[in-house]
Parts: sequence; structure tokens; C-alpha cells
Amino acid sequence: MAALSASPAATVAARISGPAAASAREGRQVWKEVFRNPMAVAGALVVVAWVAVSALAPVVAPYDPIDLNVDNRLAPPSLAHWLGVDGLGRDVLSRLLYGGRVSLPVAAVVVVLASIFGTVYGGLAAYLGSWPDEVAMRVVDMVLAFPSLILAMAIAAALGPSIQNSMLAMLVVWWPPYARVARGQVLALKARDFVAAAQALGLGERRILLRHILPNAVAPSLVLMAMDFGNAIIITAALSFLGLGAVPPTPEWGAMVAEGRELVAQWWIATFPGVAILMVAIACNFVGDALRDAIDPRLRIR
Amino acid sequence: MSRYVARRLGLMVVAVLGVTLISFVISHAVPADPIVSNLGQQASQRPEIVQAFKEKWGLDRPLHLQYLAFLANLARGELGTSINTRRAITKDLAQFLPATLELATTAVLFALAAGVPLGIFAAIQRDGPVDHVARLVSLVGVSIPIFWLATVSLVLFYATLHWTVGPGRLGPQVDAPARLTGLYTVDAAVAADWKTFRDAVAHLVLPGLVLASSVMGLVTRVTRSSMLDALSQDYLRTARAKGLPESGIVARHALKNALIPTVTVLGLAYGGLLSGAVMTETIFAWPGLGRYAFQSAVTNDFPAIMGVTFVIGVMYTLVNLLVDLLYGWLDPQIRYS
Amino acid sequence: MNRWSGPAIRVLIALAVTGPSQPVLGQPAGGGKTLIMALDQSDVKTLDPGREFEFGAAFVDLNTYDTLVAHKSPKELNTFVPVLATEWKISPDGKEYTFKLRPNVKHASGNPFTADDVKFSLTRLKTLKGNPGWMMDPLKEVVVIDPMTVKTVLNESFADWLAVLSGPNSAIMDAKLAKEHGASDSPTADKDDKAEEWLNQHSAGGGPFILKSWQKNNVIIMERNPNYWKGPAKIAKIEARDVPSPATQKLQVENGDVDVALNVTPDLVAAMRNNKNVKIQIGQSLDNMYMGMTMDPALHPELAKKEVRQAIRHAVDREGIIKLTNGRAVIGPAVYPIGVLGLETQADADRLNPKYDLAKAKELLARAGVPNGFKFPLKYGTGASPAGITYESVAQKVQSDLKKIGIDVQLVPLEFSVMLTQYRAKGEIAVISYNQPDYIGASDFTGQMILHTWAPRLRWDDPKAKEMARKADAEIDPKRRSGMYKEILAYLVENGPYVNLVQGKAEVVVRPNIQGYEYLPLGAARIYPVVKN
Repeated sequence: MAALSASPAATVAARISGPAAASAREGRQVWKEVFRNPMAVAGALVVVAWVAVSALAPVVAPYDPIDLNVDNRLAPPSLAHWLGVDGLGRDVLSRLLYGGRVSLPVAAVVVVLASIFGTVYGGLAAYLGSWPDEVAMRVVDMVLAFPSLILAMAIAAALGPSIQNSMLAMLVVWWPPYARVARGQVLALKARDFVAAAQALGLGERRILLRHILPNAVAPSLVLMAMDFGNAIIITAALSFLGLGAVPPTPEWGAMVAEGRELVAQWWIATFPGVAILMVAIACNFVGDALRDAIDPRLRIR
Repeated sequence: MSRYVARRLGLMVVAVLGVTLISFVISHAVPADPIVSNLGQQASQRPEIVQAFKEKWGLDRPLHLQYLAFLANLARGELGTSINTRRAITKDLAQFLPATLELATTAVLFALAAGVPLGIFAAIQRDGPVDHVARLVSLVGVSIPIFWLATVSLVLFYATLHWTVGPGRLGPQVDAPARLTGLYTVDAAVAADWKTFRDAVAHLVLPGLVLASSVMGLVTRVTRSSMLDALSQDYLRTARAKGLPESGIVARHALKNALIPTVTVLGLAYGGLLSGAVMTETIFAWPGLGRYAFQSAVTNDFPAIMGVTFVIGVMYTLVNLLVDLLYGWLDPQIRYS
Repeated sequence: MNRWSGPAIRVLIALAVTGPSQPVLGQPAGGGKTLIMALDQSDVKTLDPGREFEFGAAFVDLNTYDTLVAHKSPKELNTFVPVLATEWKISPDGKEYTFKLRPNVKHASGNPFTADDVKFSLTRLKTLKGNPGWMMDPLKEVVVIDPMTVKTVLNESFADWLAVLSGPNSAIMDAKLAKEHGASDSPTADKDDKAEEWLNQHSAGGGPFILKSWQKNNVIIMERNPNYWKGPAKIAKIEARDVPSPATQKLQVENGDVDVALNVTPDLVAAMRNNKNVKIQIGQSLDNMYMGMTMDPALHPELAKKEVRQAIRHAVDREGIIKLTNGRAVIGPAVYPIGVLGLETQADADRLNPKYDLAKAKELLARAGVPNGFKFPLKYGTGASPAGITYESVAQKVQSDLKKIGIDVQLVPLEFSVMLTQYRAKGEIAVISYNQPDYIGASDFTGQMILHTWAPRLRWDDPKAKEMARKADAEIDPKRRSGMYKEILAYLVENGPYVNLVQGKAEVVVRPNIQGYEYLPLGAARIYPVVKN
């Protein structure tokens, strides 16, 4: 749950990342830079591989992921069941492959929506400045100050478990760091010469905001998103622990870890989905790290 | 400056009250009746028992009066009585908060002890082997599901290898030290009861490490990047140009500046640790705030939910204020007006 | 003795059951050891016997207070033995129970035990209107005849009165001590009584142990009562630690950090079978998990049909559900535990249980006019159940079983208290829920299934079933009564809204040096006879 309340990567980035300098660099250049980093390439490959395998689950999965067989429950990994069998006698490998079809899209949607909402919110606040900014930021503080556990549980209890509701619960606690990052970026950019130049040229406010400020402010959010993707998968797991998540018998990685969490002797039930989550999370972080290094030129001086 | 602080404190009060109001609204919007989570199935079908329960806990009053009652309590320095523990919530918090504080502080210390050196060396040897190890360690730390790590580490270090003591704050048959702060280590040390002190410390190690895992990744990362930042500053280049030795530059100039963001981030993560230690507390049988919050939420213990929300809200906003002040002090470019 | 003979039905047990305790060799009278237990106490809200209604609290009250009578043993639940009452008689109309009290008994405080204590305790339980207060519904008044004789007068004949009096809520309190700390048995005790906070930290009784402290979420400490009327217990101190995680409990008992682990789940116990460092004590729990289906055609026209419900009872593979618990369960015909009067043995259950028979189920569906099946939503609570398996796994098993006869079950998980709230609001189509006995008597189960708890929630209003239940609850001849409950159970299997899913067994893991630990269905265990070598 620590992850749920902290969303650490975002908080950090919000606090420490300086003004964006992506404007100085072409987007294509950045990506080139990223893909020169072997760890980022490995990370990207892992993510692509999981996406592919999950998409092809109906073809590659050896068993039906929801087929019960109580006579074979808790069977350890074997040739017939490579990753063992769970408490209801279902093939863990098949559930793992199908589980990606839930976990990956959920994480992606949450991160994208949260970043869009947060960035627009924070960007607007900073651009307007003065009291709207003050009010907007106090709202952010309030959401951040709210015990996210109670918030998530309340949403879980109020709406009932489902994928959509779990995404909603995550969105509610997820956007504020993006708002902070975007606000910081816009504040810094507003002071920059090119904005002043645009204003001097008499360009409209909306035009300045949309064409000049937002694109420049988006870069750090992109980094955050890459790093947050892994977090989102972990938090889906945490929400499943609270009973808010995919409705059984649909397989989902977090729910699978939760199912096996008390089974000390049947390690395979929690371990394999746990490893899957870990793999994707680390892979995303590799990409995010490389992306940040590429975007922020100050880190490249040496 | 003092005007700025006063204004922020004023805003803080508004924000915390806002948080409690949201919490009140949300917890009452949940379609679960506290009657079913606090009365047995037979009792919940008996009108006179249900009525007595509602009267006792003030649930028969209109909602806005219930919230006003909370505010009135607050004005008197009270938080009401918990349905779950049947005693003053201030007493509950006095019991559960120190347990979690002790655990979270331990976790933060562990995270600092491991994360800072790792981050520094990673920055100095950028893209070298230490950097890659640091990156991997911090990513694994941030990515690992904590409830799973807690169970696995108990199985491994406690049950199999016997390296650590078991769950709980103290071992069996060790009595808690006389209460002063509620922090067992401090209380035992004050009483010079070193046997209890050692036992309390021993019980903090494993849950502390588990809880530290996520924060450690964070610390490593922030230290690394702010260190890189610091190393690229102009004045360091000047120092280098003057021919000062690299180690001296790192130690005397860069480190000081690089550690500030780390401390700040820790301050913020601390709030998350306080409310987010539920899994660790459950698996390590740790009688802390996280479990209390969780139980309050599942049993619709409205007064306790409000109390926990209030305390966490206050602590979070306070830390936030301190962090902002720290930034102003660090970076003279930021002016508070 | 003559005063007690005559035409009245006599339920008389002549001797005190348990002999005086012999000090264990090698242990000084004041010595003894600490018994360390791991017990999930998340549910405990209060330890006041007049207010508590939770498993962990029942354990404390059972060991710190005595009752007038008690169930003879976990295997003979339908026979009662004297504790603080030495003998009793029941009037022919079943309305008056007169108890002769044990002389020369002192509470832990040194106050003498008298009939006033009985009157105070039972009256307070009723007038507090707390969670267990409804159990005193049958009670009209308590009459003190003399200091050593007391009579309870009931509103009408009620055969399970001794069962109610055996439960931990009917604990006999030290009235003088309790009143000193604010306890009250006034008609408005729900407002006058101020003793709860004190009773959460102290016991006011004369049981074998004395409550020393309770730290919520942490530990409950009890010490032996040196003045216990049967002689002091062998265990000097009980340290009941709150360990919510079953896996943690398992590791602790294996490691020897605790002597007894009470909440280890079946799959974890299965992994300990060959471990020589632990013993597994198997007891029969009386808890049931069941599925309830609405009887109201307006809510669901198909489920409301008798044949459909019968078909479902034949289609659920209950043997398969037992396998989910590693065989740690039994199954009875209704939400009525095996071991209780009327369903005394497994053989009784086997005679009444609906058989797993898919062909018959399909035939019944065809007869009901839905040969191709139908859909219905099934609500259940998320999280662990007291049976050691989750509602979720049982729900998925039911879903998979009913698919075989063409019924499409849509699972609807809800936070447990939300599920209960909706269930109580009487609008649910089907739920999986759970029952733990409130007292160990047949009327508790018929009361919930037929008379006043779940029946209205499932909109089942069956005058014939109600009539049968009322008659059986009032019948004070145990033999005749047993037969009446068998008929009720058969009627339920034919017509009722319930599918009983599983009745758990309790597996308590103890260290090999612990002797005399025996599982009790209500209150976990009596520690008095336990020895730690």
C-alpha cells in the first residue's frame, strides 16, 4: 500500500525536476538517445513481448484460464503445468498469460488519463496564476493529504469491485503529482524568453498556452508516465487485495498474487504473477530513466 | 516570511477541515450500514437493539449535525469515541501512532543508510557498474509488492534461517516498558531497561527493512539525480578548474546540496509510510495506525475514520509546509510573499 | 434433595463433573507457565460479557467467568453439566427453570457468589440492549428465592434455555464489584451502565482466570485466579497475541514462539502434517457457509420456483467444495450444524442431504419450465471467511458447477459489510453468507433460517415451517424434540431457500508439550485443564 499513497516517482519528479529543456532538443533526437541505451532497449523489448504474449493468450495458453479442477488443486510446477496449479485447480501459466490482458491495459489507461488530467489541470493553474493557482494547488494538497487507503476503500465499497471502478479509484489518487509537475514546468517556462517574445508579438493567450507552453511542459510528464506504468500495475494488485479489481474468475496479476499471499508452501501461486509484475515494472522504469536522461540535458554535461 | 507562514498555517486549517469533510461525506456515501458491521445478524433484526445502538453512537441524528458534533469535539481537543474499540479516539491514536512512527522511522533510517551511499556512488560513476546496480536495486525496491515481500522475508529470515526474531513489537513474555512516549525503544532506553530495548530493536529490524524497500529505491534515485545535478554546477566546474581533488569536491560541495532533495522527498514519503503500512503491519502483527485505519474503514467506524483522516491530514500538510520552507531557504530565488 | 423430586421433569446431574485439581508434580503451587497463543482478534470490540459478540471476546469471557451450566463436552453438546448451579429443575410447562447454586464459591475479588449475582448478570444482559441482548428475549424475570436458589421465569416454554445460559454472554458477574465500576441492571441500563471501559481491562467474575489487560490489536493478558473454586489452573498466565495473518501464525508455532495457533488455514495446516514440532488438534466447528436464494418471483421468477432450488441443491458439487478445504469440512442438509440436537451425527446428515446428481437436476429444471437454464447474480463478501477458505473460491466453484446444468451465475463481489447491508435490506436475489452459532442450541438455527433473520431477507414466509419451528423450539423433551428438527430439516431440503455449502472443521496447531487443549465451538477453548510441560 505504500506505493498507493506515495506514488513516489511522481512526487520526486515534481519536487526535483527543473525547468524542461526539451524545447532545445528535437523529439526524434531524444528517442535516438534513448535507444542507444541498452537497458532501455531491453526494457522496451520486455514490454513489447508481454503485450504480444497477452494479446496472443488464446493461442499460446495451454489451458482454459477459468477451468476448475479441484482434484488437482495446488499441484506444483510440472511438465503438464509449467508454473503449477492454483487453489481452485487452474493452470497458473494460462492465467498469467490471460492476466496480462487485464493488467497491462488497465495500467496504461490509468497512467494516460491521469497524466492528461493532471497536466492540463496543473498547466492551467500555473498559466492563470494568482488566486486560481492558489485554489487549484490547495485542492491538490487536499487530495494528497487524504489517506489514500481510506479513499480507495471507500470507493471500493461504494461502487463495488470491477475493472472500471478500480481504474476510477486509481485515477482519483493518481493525478495530483502530474498536476504539480506540469505546474512547475509551466511556471518555469512562463519566465522564459520565447513566451515573452510570443506575448510581445501579440499572440493570443490560448495560442501561447496550447502551441508554446504545453508541448514544452509535457516532456517531464512523459518520463513520469513511463516510470508510473509499473507502479500502476502494482497498485492494481494492491486494490485487488482490498477487494476492488477484476471480478472473478477473470484472471488479473494483482489478484493472483493476493490469492497466493498466505500460501507459504505453495510459493508458485504468488511468485509467478509477482515476477510478471516486477518484470514489467522494471522494464518500464528502464525506459523512463533513459528517457529522462535524454530529455534533461543538464544531466549530460559530464 | 512570518506572514507567509501564518498564511500557510491558515490555509492548512482550511485544507485539513476540507479533508475531514470529504472523508465524512465519502464514508457516509458508502452503501454499508454500520449496524451490520457492528451488530450480529440476529441483533440487527431487533428494532430495540438497533435503536439503542443508533442512539449510543449518535447515528440517529441528521448528517450535518453529526459533522458539527465532530467539529465541536475537535474544538475541545477531542475526536470522539471509536465504535470499534469503545474508547476515546485520542487514546487509540496515542496507542497506535507511536507504533507506526517507530516502524516508519526505522524504515526511513534504513532507506537513508543504504540509499544515500548507493546514490552518490552511482552518480560519481555514472553509467558504470555501480550505477547499474543502484538502478536495478532501486527499481526492484520500488516495484516489489510489499505484502508479498513481507511474507517471503518472514519465511526466509525468521522461519528458515532464524536470523531475526518473529513478528510483533516485543517477544513473548517481554512486557512493554512504562509508557512515556509510546515508542518502545525510547521508553525502554529512558528506563534503562536494556533487555527490553534490545528486544524492541530486534523486532524493528525485519519489518523496518521490508517497509524500507520502496523508500530505499526512491532515496537512491533522488540522491543520484540531485548529485548529478550538483556535480554539473558552475561553481564545481570552477573548483575543478582550480585543480581541487575530485573527492574533495564531492564531499565538500556537491554532497551538501545533493542531500537536500533527498531529505525533502523522505519527508513526503514519510506521510505515505504512516498511512500505508497496512500490509506490513498485518503480516508482522504490528499494532499500528495502518491496521487501525483499515479496521475502521471495513467496520464503518465513522468517528475513527474521521480521527485517522484528521491526524494524517495534519501531519501531511505540516510536512509539506516544512518542505516548502526548506526550499525557500535553499534556493534564494524563491521568494515567499 | 426431596424438595427437588416430584412430577417435575428433572434434569439432574448429581456430582460436580470435574474433580479437584491435583498440583502437577515438580511445579510449586504458585508456579506454572505462560501459555502463549496466536489468535486473530481483529473482530474484538469489547470484552464486556453483556456486550461482546465476537469470537475472540467469547474466548476471554469463557475463561474469566463461569456460567450456571455448561455443555458437557464438544462431542456431547446436547447434554448439560453443572458449573455454578449444582442442580436444576424445569417446570412441566417449560416456563420456569429453578437453579440450586453452588455453596462457598468466591469470586476472584473475594466477594461471595450468591443468587443476586445471577439476577444481576442475566437482567443486565437483557436491559443493556447490547449486541447479545436478544438472547434474553425469552426471559421474563429472575426471582431470587434464597441466597443459594434462583428461578428464571420465561415468557413461554423455551427448550434451549440451558444452551443460552451456557454461552459466554450468560457469564455470571461479581455484581458488587461490577456495580462499583459503574455496571447497572436497571431497566434503562443501555444508558445507565458505564462499566464497559473498565470491563475491557478487568474481569468481574469468578472464572479460572482473571483479565489483566487488553491492548487492542496487540495482546490480551489473563492470569490464573488463585481462589478458583475448583483449585487454581495449571497455566499461570495466558498471553493471547493478536496475529491477524494465518501464515504468520503458522511460522510462529513452527518456530516455537507461540504454543497455540488458532487461525491457521487448511492449506497451511496441510503443509505441516509431517512436522514433528507441532500437533494438530481437530475439532468440529459449528460454522456454516451457505447460499441463500430469494423466494420472491418479483425479484427472480426462476429462483422462486421450488424445483429450480431443488435442482441447484442437486447440482452443487459439495464433495468438491470439501476438497477445497483439504477435507477439513463436513456438509449438512441446511444451515444447521452437524452435532446439534436433531442432526447429532454425520449419518443423520447423510440421510437428509440432497445428492449430487446432474441428471436429476436437469430433469427438475425441465419440470420447472427452464430446461435451458437461466442467469442470476450471486453476491458474496470479499476477503477471508472464518472457514479458512474464501467466499470467492466457493463462489467460483458454485459458478462452475451450475454452468453444467446451463445456469449462468454472474459473480458480484462486494465489501463484506456492503453485502450484509444489502442482504439485510431484503432486496437480494442470491447471496453467499456465513453463520457462526450465537449459542449452541437448535432454536438459534431455526430462528435464523425460518423465523426472523434470513427468512424475511430472502422473502420466505412459510406458515407451515414457522409453526414447525415454534413447536420444536418449545418442546422440552429432548427425544421428541430431536425428531421434530429432523422433520424441519427434511422440509427445508424440499422447500427452503438455502443451499448449505460447507461446515468447517477447526484445526488448532499446538506445540507438542501442550496437553489437554480441546477445541470448543463457542469460545475456542477452556484453558483450565491445559498443561504446558
